[in-house]
Amino acid sequence: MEDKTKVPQSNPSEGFENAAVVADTPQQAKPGKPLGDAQPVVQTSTPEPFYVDGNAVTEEEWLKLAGENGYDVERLKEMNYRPSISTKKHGEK
Amino acid sequence: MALINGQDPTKIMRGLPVRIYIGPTISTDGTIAVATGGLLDSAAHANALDLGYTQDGAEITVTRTFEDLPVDQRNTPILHGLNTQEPHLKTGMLQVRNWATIAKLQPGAVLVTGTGFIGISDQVDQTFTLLPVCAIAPTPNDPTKFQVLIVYACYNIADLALKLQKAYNKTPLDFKGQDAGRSDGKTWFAYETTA
Repeated sequence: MEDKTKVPQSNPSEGFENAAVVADTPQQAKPGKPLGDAQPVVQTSTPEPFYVDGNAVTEEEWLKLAGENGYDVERLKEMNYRPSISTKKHGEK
Repeated sequence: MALINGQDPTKIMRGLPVRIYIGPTISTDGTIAVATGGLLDSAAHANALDLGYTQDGAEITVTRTFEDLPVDQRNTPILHGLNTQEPHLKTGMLQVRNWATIAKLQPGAVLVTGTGFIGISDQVDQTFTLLPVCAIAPTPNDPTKFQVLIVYACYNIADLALKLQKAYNKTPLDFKGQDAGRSDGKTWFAYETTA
């Protein structure tokens, strides 16, 4: 399977000029641009995956379950905050 | 007649070994599910990272501002209120060469990789992500029970310090808590497990 966290480099011997900033979210990684006229691409927004009970879910599912489990969904949207959550209480399996 | 005696050395707070994590899974009651030895299960805490070796422990501080209401008719305020709280969790990180981890900890830094190198550099906009952070240690008298300190949504405000010298580098971390979007309004939690 292709490793999408690695950004293809046209000529590795060019060293830093071909360096790319790798995002935490693989699909958002973008190829770097050469230094010089243009600045290298910098991936600044690194959204975390959405997890509920250890399972990756869509953002919509995450927001729905967060709302059902003690979070103010509108507030979370304002904050752009998506912590990993569980639907269980302390000690529940 | 029974005499009141609250002296109990087992209740003196002490944590060894302490482990500090970012991104733990938060249970509905605000707790964190802890496995044997104070470790977090990687399936239950799919997004968590262990900061590794730290120094000087981890501490929660909560600074507060109060408002007292003085009146003309009395020498002392007649009403008082708690206006603000600001929780922090502080520690000193040693393993700063875990670049992917430290990139998450330092607002304004991004991970940079290329052929034959990995590191962090500065980003070009103002965005950063809030993190839950927790410190976990067994109780001094019962290693099957745990003391847990949590700040639910925070970011590190300590200056980034990467020092090359003879001595080992320690980078301070000061996680400042924000509103966590919780319906119960909690932003921090300090507790110990009893079962």
